[in-house]
Amino acid sequence: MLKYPIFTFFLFLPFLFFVCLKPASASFPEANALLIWKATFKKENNSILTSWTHPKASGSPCNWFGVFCSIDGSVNSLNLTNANINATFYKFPFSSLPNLASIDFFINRLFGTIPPQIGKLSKLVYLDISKNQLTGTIPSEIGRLTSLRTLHLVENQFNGSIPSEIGQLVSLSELALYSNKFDGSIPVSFGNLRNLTFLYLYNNSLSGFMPPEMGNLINLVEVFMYTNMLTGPIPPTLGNLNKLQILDLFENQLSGSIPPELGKLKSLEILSLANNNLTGLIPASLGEATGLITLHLYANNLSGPIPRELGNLKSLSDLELSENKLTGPIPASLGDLSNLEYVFLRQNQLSGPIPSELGKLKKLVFLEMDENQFSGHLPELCSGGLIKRFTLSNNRLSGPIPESLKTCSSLTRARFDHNKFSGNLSKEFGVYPNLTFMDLSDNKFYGELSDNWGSSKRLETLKIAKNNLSGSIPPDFGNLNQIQILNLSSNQLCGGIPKEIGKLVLLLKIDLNDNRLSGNIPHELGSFSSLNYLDLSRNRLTGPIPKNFPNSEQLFHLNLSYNFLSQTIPVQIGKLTHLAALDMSSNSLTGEIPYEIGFLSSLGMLNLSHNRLSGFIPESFQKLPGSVDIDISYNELEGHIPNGKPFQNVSIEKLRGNKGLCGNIAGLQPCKVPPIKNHKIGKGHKLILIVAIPLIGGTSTSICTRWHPDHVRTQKEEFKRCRR
Amino acid sequence: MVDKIQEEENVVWCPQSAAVGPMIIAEGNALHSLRTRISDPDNVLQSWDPTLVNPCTWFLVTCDSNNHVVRLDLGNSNISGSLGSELGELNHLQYLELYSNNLRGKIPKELGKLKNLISMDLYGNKFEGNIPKSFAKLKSLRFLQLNDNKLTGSIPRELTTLSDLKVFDVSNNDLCGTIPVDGPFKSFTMESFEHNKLNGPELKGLVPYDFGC
Repeated sequence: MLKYPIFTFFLFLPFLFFVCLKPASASFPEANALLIWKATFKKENNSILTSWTHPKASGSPCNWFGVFCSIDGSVNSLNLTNANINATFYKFPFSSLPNLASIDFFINRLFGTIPPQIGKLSKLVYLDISKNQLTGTIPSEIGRLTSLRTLHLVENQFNGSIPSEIGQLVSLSELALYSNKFDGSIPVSFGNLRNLTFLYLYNNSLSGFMPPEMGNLINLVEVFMYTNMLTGPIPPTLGNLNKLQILDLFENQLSGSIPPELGKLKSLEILSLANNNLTGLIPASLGEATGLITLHLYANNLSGPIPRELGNLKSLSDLELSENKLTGPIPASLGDLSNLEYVFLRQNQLSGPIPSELGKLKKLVFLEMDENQFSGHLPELCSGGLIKRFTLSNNRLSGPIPESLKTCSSLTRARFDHNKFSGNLSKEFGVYPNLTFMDLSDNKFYGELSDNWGSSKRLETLKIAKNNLSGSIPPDFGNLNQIQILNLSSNQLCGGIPKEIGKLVLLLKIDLNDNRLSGNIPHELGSFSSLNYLDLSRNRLTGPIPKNFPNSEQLFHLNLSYNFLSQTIPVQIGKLTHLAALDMSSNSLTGEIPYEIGFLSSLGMLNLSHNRLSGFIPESFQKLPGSVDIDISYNELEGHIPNGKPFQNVSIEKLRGNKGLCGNIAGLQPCKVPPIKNHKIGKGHKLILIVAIPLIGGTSTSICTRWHPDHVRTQKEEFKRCRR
Repeated sequence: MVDKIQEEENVVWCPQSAAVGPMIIAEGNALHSLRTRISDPDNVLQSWDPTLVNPCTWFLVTCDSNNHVVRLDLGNSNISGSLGSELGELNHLQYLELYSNNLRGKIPKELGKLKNLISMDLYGNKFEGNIPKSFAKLKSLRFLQLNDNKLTGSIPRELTTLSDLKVFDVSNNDLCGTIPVDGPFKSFTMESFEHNKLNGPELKGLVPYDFGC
């Protein structure tokens, strides 16, 4: 018995050898080749590849990180996604990995070019080297990879033309070249890629025409070629692509008309031809592409009407036709598109009334139709209660606001401005808890501002300028604590500016000009620290300009002109170093011009005309920017015009009507005595004031009654009517 | 625009910004670029919605009647980060107010493209590098305040061609070389230049030198 075991052992030994060494003999050269490549990697903190060393036992790389082998022990797949590899392909073992079928090096720091040796990987099925730093052109040898099904070269710095040899990759199903610098035309040979399903060429510099041969690619499901420089027409042959679900050609320079053949695409869900140079009509046949969910044709030169056949696109949820030259009405059939959520028809030449059928659209979220020629009254539109953005500005719409919009509490941004809407404002609008932007300017609304507005607490912009509003500004406006822009100008608002407005600390721009506001400017308005722009001009405000006013160093525009403001200009005004325009003209301001005005180092325009300012022009005016436009006419100023650039080219119109200004300016009397140096405000000044008051006081009342006979009476009447 | 990132089996679609509105004009794009670049802890740029048709209703942006941006008022807004080339696209800009923030990095030379600019206030930040020579192209400029930064190099001679320049302040920087004396520089006081490493006014008649610079 004993002699046989030894014999059988020796009999099996060769088999043992064979079983043990076969993997080693197949993969040892592969391991070696990979290690040669690894040796070229730049040193990184890379613990991932520590497994890439010569294994002591078998010499097989099949247990290495990212290395996968087939049953026979030969490397068939390399997956090194996000492994922080900083290397080139120049020493990659293209010739030593005969069974390599899959390369996935997505997200690494590979650089340099793709060597032509890539053509040796004849079994390659999957190649993804996206999101690296590779450069150069795709070698034509890529055409040899006839088993390749997936090619991803995305987000690198590849340049040059796409080689026509890509057309030889007959197994190719997925081709992604997006976000590189490829230029030149799409090769005609693409027409041979019968298995192509996904084609992503977007965000490159591709130019030339789209090859009509693309119509042969009947397996195409998704085509993204947006953001390139493609020219010429959209090939009508694309109408053959029965399986096509997405066609995105946004942002190219495609021209000609939209081919009616696109209507044959029954599987099409997303069609974007936006931002091209397309002309002609929107084909009625597009109504046959009944799978459409998104249709973007905006920013082209399309003309003619919106075809009523679009009303057949029952799945449509996003319709964007803005920025074209479309004419005619909105077809009533669009009311049948019950899935519509986004409708953009803005900036066209559409006309006629807005069809009441649009009221059937319950899922509407964005409706933007501004800058057209729509007319007539609005139908009910917010029946689904979901509309957030609603823009109808710059049309010829009239009539009242329909009930459904009054209660449309989903509104976040609404623009009705520049139309002919009418009605009693306090009845037309309700409370909008989510509204941040509302513009009703330039319409024919009348009535009063209701307290409701104060309850729309998220309002950041409220503009109701140029209407016929009356009554006073409700103190409840003080609850609008998010408000940053308030424009109620050009109405007939009366009463005082509520002091509660002072609570609105975020205000950037206040525009109340051209109303009948009366009373004093509340000193609370001095508390705004971010205010940029304040216009209270053309009202009936009285009393002094508050001392602390305004307190915002960011203020660049201050207009208090055409009021009845009295007393002196506050010296605080000198703090407004960013003020570009200061207009206090046509008031009853008295006292001297503060020398602090000379500190307004950004001033471009200064108008103090038509007041009762007295004394001298401060010498500090010399410090004002030389280009400033100054008007101090019709005051009671005297003394010499200061030297310096601001007055160098001033004309007499800006100086006339004063008490005794003199200087070297045409039309002005020359100064008789040496110029009196202007004193800063101090004892001397007070003395003059005390002496002058009885004289000036006496004359001023008589001037008042002579020049403004009805002034005092009218104001009292206004105040009575405004009391709530 | 749709972004497709393929991660193993899952395909992640980024929402299409085009789905919520028309494309914005180039000026809105430029401002949106700026917004993505800088840090805005006080959310002063919250209203800068890139899906709107133009930036004219954005807060702190002022447009003219043709919807071109004429003012950018971001002074004292607690913003930080650096500027890119994008602001050079605002062709109609008249007032660029970025003062008193935490902006750093170089002043982009592309700001020299703003041929309508009247006022540039970058003072009170941490800008470094040189005053771009391209500022000589700002032919409408009246106010240039770059004081209180970390600017280095010399004051470009080319700025003497800005005949409308009325207010110029580069004090409190690290500038070197000599102070130009031609053109508008005749009327600027020494306060505009103090607290730098400048070598005093340029000596006329001699070859201009900027040593150490």
